[in-house]
Amino acid sequence: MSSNISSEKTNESSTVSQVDPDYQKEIFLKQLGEHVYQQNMKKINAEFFNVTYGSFVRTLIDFYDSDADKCNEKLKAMGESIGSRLIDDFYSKVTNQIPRCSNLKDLGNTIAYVGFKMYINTVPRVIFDETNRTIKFRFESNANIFNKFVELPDDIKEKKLYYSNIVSGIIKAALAGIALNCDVEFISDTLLDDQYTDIQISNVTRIKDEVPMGQ
Amino acid sequence: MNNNLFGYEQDQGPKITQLTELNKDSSILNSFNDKNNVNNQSGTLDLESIKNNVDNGTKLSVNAAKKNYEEGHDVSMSAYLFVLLEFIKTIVSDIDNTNHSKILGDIGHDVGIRIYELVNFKLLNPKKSMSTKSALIEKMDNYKYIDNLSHGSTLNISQVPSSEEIYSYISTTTVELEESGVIKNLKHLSFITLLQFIQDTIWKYMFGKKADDIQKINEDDSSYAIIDNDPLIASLVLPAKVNEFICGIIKGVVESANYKCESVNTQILEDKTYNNKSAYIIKLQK
Repeated sequence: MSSNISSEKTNESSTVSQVDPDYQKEIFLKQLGEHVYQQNMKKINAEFFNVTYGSFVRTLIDFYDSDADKCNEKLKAMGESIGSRLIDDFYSKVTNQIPRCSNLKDLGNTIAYVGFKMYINTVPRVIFDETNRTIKFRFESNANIFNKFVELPDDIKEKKLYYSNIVSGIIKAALAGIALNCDVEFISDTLLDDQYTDIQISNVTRIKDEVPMGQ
Repeated sequence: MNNNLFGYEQDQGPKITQLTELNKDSSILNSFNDKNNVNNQSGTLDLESIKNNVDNGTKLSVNAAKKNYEEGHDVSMSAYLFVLLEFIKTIVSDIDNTNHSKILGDIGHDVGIRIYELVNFKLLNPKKSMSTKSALIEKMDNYKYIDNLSHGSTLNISQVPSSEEIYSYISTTTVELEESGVIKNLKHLSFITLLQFIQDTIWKYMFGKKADDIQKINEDDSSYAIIDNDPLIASLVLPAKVNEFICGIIKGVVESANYKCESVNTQILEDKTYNNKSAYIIKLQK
């Protein structure tokens, strides 16, 4: 009996789902992100968020005498302390519905379709590069919610301030919370007159559990 | 650290920028009319293509802005709270200044100015109605395309509209605005209407709900209070600090509506049902 059932199942799956299973997984993740955002999250006005973030960043730039490198570092450090708490919040709201990530592509899709959707309500395009093993999140011209209403002055533009650099820190620390080590950087930003806003994840390695010395 | 680092100073009030009068500056006019100047010679620059490019660019950006405005995004509140808490933490820990509440107030003031402007802009441009252009407005719009720099001509002052035309232009546009009921929303002739505006429209815009109460404290019309039973962003993160930030927002709104505001203070009231019931007390200058 059991062998019959299993063979039927395989037949069904081969006939009905000729769709790529990766594609199915993507659609499931998209629906999950939409569902979690609508059901489990409290909401607040995006423009209010945007204006508040902008005036705090302006204060930060003034505090560091418009030194863009220090501002980038500081924003990233702040993002890291957010991310280490955000990963707990993420798992408490998604509950058990989220499937495990078996490869890099799954990881990118989960961050984009569930993570970004849940918190800032925009979904970037995911570009996966197999040879270099990197993931890129690409925001089209106006999609990045931080960049709305924002224009950088010329001197800061030349020094390459990545305005929403806090996001890279958040991703890095959140992945460290689930035992993944990686480098996250901004590559381009529409505020610096690039065509897209790109965030790149590279060098993903797993942190191994090690027994402390002397035990 | 200087005291002047943060663009706005509460003691001094907003900075004033002075307009330069371009038309009266003789050197600029001379450089415009000079035919030996390379930029003014015809044929050196393809001005028409540049003009077309600029026009297309502005059209594109205007369309993008319109699309953005119509979408009306929202984001999750936990993202907002994470960012707010982190910034407050860095300000308290990094800046060695005892007066953190002033810094938070200044930041809130910046937010308040922009929010007042945004809300008024949205009231001015309701989504549905697009008023039809009258002939006069089209004529006024065409003025800026007449000065024909590509043929090396001089800047012709006679093309500038006369004062009568400008007056009639202004009067017709204001009539259209009054018909759509916008003028009522813009002017706050008494302070109480402004208070109602803050309690109703601006709190709804920021937090998605109205503030619960407005009160008059003194009898000489100098101090009022806005009371919120359960302030949304102050309920979870450091209520005292976030309330100072909200005070800054209120001060920014009141000052950009042309009322002289002496100070905005906050106080957490004792209540049996609500833990964080807070009052924002506005003091006006006499």
